[in-house]
Amino acid sequence: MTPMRDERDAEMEVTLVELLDRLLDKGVVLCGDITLSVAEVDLVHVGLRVLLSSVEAAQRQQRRAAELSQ
Amino acid sequence: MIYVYALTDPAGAVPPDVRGLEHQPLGNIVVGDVSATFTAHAEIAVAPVAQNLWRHEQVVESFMRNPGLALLPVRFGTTFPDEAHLEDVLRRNQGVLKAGLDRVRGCVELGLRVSRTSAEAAALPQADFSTGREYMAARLAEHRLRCDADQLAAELESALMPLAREMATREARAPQVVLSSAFLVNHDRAEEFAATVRTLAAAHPSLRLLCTGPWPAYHFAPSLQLAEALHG
Repeated sequence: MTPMRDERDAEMEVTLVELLDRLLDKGVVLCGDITLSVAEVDLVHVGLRVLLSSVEAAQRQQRRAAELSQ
Repeated sequence: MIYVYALTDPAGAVPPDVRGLEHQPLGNIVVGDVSATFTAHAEIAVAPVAQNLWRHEQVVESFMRNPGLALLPVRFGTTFPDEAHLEDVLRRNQGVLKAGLDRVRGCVELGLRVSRTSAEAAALPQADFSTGREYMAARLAEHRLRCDADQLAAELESALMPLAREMATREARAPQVVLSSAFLVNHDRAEEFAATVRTLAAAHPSLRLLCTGPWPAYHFAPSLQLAEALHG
């Protein structure tokens, strides 16, 4: 693998991390249900840490929504 | 069940050439000054896999073709049982959402991630120590690096902030990361911002600056209080 290829791959990884960071952890939370299926997660490894923290946040939010709607 | 992608000004017509998750056609609902774009599904549990993430992003970004349109992206995975429930939330939070649209109107978000180059990162303190002295020396080196990083970050921010309307700084997740920020930039200054980043990169060869975007304004979306959103 050439250094240039390494650099391009690294940039693609960073861009994917940037996408994950935004879609799973930012944006307007309208407080509907956050419906995520994590059983078939096949995201590339670079996003896993972001993904896990965001899924945990979504699950916390779902629990709070359930409590408030009772 | 409906899946929601974005909020826009009411003038934001749903792009006819774009499909949502599961290739469903887009619909929208207008409540006061806010339009919400969604797709309808019999049942949906969205896997956060690359294909779905990019499809969600594609729908949101399709509204960026009209730079005058205010656009707020909605968190990935947001669903409602039906349109009536969504309409209720939009009505109850009309003021906050309208203010949120006004805040980002005419702007895009640009991401900037600054990290040390491979050689610099290799010089970072290692985690295995055989003596307390080595441990303390490593902690001191780490502290100095963090101070250096803070100084560099402040320098970069001061060069870029005149081009931005707002900035949101994210917590650095790794020691080699100097800065990870999102900037809210007027649409017509985005290229100037990117050019400035290139100039800064040339001036700091020991750093790797990566500018991403233009993104919808994810980091500048309003926060709705959960209880208020549900119960008004």
